Amino acid sequence: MTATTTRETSRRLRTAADDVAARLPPLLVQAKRIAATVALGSHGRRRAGPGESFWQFRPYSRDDAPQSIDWRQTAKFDHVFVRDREWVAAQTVAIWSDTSPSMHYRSTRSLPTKAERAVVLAIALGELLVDGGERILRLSANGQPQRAAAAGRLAVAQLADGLAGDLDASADSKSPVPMRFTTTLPRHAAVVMISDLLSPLAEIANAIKALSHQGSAGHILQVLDPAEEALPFKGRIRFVGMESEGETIVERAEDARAAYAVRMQTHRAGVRELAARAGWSFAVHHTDRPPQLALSALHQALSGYAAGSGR
Amino acid sequence: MFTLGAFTFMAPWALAAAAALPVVWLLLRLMPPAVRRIDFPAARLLFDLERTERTPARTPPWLVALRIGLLVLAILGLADPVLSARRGESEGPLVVVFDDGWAAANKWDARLQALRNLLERAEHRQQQVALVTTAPVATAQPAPRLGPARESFARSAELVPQAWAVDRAAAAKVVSALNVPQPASVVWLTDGVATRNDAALTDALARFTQVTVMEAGDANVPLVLPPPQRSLADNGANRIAVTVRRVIGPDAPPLAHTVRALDANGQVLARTTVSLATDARGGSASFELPTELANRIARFDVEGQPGAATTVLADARWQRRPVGIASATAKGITPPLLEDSFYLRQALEPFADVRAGDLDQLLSRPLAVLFMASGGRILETEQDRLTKWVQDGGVLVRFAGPALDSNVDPLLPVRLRSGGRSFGGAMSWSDPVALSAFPESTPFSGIAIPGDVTIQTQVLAEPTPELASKTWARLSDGTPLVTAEHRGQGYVVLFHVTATPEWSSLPLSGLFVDVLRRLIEMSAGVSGGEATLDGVLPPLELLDGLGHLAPPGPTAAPIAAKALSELTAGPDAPPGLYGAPGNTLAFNLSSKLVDLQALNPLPTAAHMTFEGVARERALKPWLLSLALLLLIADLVISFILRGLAPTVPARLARTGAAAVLLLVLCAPFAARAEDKPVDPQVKAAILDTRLGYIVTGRGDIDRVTAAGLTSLTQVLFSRTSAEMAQPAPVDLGAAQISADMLSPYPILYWRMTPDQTKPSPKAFAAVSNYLHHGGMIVFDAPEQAGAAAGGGSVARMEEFLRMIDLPPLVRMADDHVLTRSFYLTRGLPGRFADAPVYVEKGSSANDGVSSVVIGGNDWASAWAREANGLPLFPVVPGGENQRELAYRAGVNMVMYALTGNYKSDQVHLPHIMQRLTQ
Repeated sequence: MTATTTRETSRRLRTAADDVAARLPPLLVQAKRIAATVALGSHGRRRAGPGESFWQFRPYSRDDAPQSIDWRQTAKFDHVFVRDREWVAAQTVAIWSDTSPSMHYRSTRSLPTKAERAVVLAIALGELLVDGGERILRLSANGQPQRAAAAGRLAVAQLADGLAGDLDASADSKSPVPMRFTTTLPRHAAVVMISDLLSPLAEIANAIKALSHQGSAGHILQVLDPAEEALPFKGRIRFVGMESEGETIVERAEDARAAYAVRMQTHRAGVRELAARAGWSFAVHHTDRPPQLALSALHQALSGYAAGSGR
Repeated sequence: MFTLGAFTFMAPWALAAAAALPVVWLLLRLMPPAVRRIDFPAARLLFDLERTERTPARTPPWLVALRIGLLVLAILGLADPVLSARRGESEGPLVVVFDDGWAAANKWDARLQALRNLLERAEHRQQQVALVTTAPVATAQPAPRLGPARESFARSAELVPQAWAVDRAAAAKVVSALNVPQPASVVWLTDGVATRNDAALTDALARFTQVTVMEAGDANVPLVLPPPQRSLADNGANRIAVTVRRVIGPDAPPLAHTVRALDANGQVLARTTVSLATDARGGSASFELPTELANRIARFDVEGQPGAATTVLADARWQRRPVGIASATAKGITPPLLEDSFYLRQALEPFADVRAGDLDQLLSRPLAVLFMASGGRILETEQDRLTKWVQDGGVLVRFAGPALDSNVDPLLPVRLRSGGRSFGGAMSWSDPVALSAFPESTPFSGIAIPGDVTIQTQVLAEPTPELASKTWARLSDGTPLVTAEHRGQGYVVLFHVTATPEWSSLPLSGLFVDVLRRLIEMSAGVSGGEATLDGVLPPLELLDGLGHLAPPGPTAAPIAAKALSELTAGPDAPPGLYGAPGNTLAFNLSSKLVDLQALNPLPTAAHMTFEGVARERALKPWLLSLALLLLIADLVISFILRGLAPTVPARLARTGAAAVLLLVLCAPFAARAEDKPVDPQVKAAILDTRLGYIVTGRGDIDRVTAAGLTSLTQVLFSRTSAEMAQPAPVDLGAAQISADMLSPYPILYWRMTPDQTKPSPKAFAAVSNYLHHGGMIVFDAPEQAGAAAGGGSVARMEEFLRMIDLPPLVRMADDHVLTRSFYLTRGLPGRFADAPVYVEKGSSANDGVSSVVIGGNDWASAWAREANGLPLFPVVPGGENQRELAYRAGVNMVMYALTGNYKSDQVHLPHIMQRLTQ
């Protein structure tokens, strides 16, 4: 995969994502808590708003640095005043889009692969977040954060480039990518996981545990191909796993359909259970549906989370 | 070998493999279908599913059938079956005796194909083969020997029919020399003509265990075209009588063959059909041609029957008749215009081979006509020689003169009175005398006499009882001008005037030319024992066995002209043209072929026709190819079943399905539109504009008309915007005739023949209706000499026209729109140019457009061309220029029919121009 084609892929994905994002109102993620450790939002913000600079004058105390004395205000009165600025902070959202080999699947040529859809959704989300003034952070395929959290258009471009690189790198691979979300994220960062979540439940549980352990809020979007839901095959078929997990021969695929559906439901219920336990949201998206719906779902989840946990 | 019906298996042991087929069938049925592989992300969820269904999917039955079919084809192919092999043929060596003489040109292709089939069959059997040809060859060939069939097959590719007879005695020697071990079979492909030495060959062949004789069959016996005879007909044209002979066996069916006369360029000058009645050995027919056309004849042949025996080459003897002018005037002394032979030479040179000299020189070479320009007596010494020449068929023409005004010698047709007779001289009261019409039954009958020919002086004949019968031309007062006497084979002719304008204005007039020409045409010509070409003649062009002329090969030898009559055609003297260009002598094979007998070989042998040897077809390659195709199909089907086939885009599939559905839905409606049947010919005429012609019922005339209209259509296509389809025949005799059948045609061409069937009143009503509603008919009733089915056609046309409702007719004016509608032409010439053309008198109906054009210029014959573009008929008198004018006339007629009076303002153009310039 050459650099040129990677750049091409990145551009294409961003165009698609822009298209999706343009149809939603800017999404401002409300910070659950504004911690001191959260970087000040004065830099990198490119929009006017209340409390941009001035917050209040307060009398000078002995702890204050003399440089912080507002001499103009002080001259009007008898006391010495210090100018307090508004503490503006940005929420950091870590985005992880699964590009493992199993995501490179589509049942018919008219549909995009799951990976493609997931990446488009991730970039669209990043676009919306940046528009809302948030900072985004890309988690690499195996869950490692890339660069530092950033805001602005450049961050979206970096996100898109990174995701496109991941996509290309994993296109021909067969080996599974283990999820290792062990890294410390910025505190109180939100995590968005976009994946098919077809790994064993234990693996998923580990990932969620590693992330929620740091107190991060999370949103899980399961992207599935319609064929994975309905198993629309007939006849004698050898199903081969895409991440070297093995293969099985089904004599009559049409007869295995019911049992498969039950297993799929069970698996999804397990994931949902894991998410609920961590206080995370969970949604399902199929590649034959419009991506706007999925983005709306994320929007709902983020807003709902903010509204529902307005502690 | 193992035979099953029409098939013979060369390797039957391969069929044993068929026993394994049921086992293969079982295996194929039990084998589960190929597994489709699908890479599936959720494969983990499918691991260790409960098996609810225990019966695995099976290979579909049609796929099993296809695979079994594949195996069957492969097994059959390996068994090497051969189609239509004959059983019971001996396996020993095969000798093929092949007649390749002149008579083999008859059905040559079938003959050769039969030979190839025989050799192919022998190759399949791996028989030893020897191929023996019977015609002698120019260069020595290695003697045939027994060998693989492939060798003989290679030789058969070089076989051509020879232009001479076969030598069966020599062939018998060759067959005997082969020393074929018996048992062996022999096949003789005969040409069906007996020769003197047949017995030798039949004896040699009778020694074989199995003898087969193959022949062309009674309907296809060889034909012979003897040299045609040329004579003078009553109306002055040349009558050419042709005979076709055939070599017949016990019962011969009636036949009809067309004999053609062609010029040097291959253009057909005339053709006639010779009918041979049942069991007749020959048949004759004749046709008439003007002299200038007859002189162009270079060869005769039988259409569709190429061969050396059916081709007659016409040489210089045929084309020009040597004419001598004996003159006593010493050259160089008399001024040219006063020379006594000057006018004769001027008149004769265009159509005869004129030689001048004294009697001795002239008579030393063959001569058809001898003119003695100087009126003088013939010396005693030469009288005997001249008399004998006349007795042998010469025509002696003498002219009176000052020296010939009495009975000077016996070579005169009548007894003369002494002394001439003058009219209108300075000392005479009487006027010069004109000619009276030529009597019937003389060679001059029918020649028009111009009024300005006058005779001042003549010699007179003694009145005798037979004078009237000897007189060929007389003056208006009844005295003879030309007298003649039949002596032996020839004539002695006397002009009672001089050959110069001294005594009369006859030598100055065109009449003189016509009269001399008649004299030459009635002469017997020079034939046989030709000695104009002395000594040894080199071959110029030789005839091959299929009747084509070709340059002589390296082995062609010159022949002695004297020996021509005794010569037999053979490899050392092939038929053809000998001599130098322009002075050729034809050596025709057919003149030597008289009294031919049919061959009746070997009554004990098996007889069959050439078509009887069916071609053996080895089916092995076909079967194996088919098996291979099935294998590929099976491969593709397997791929599809495994899900590896490229999927058809859904939209394309939907569109295709919709189109098919639409077609299926529309089909009943389309069928309903056809419910009322429309005559397919009328339908075709409606869909494409085309010319039409009325069927006369005479096949040859209709073919000419169709050819003429076809080439006129091509001319219209290339020159005008009228792009029409092929012309169509219209049969007025059809049962359902109505104006509807005529109305699609803008113009109909109606060629009249004297014996044309009169259409029914209903048909005439349809024609009238057609004419009243804008149709146009060109009636063509040629009555000129030379027009096929001429005489009486005008009368027949008048009879027909009375049945059609027509406005008054008028002779076409020179400035009629017909001469302006596309080209500016003068009159409407066709093959002839002199017949008057009538059109409707200008009427207000139909915008003043005439609905009929009635003429007799035989337009279609002038237009008609063969498929190769050569004209079918010569046009008279104008040549190719007139043909172009005929095409222009045709274009004008069609444009007139299509555009009506659109160009009538062209008639007023002079007035318009005059006004504009004022």
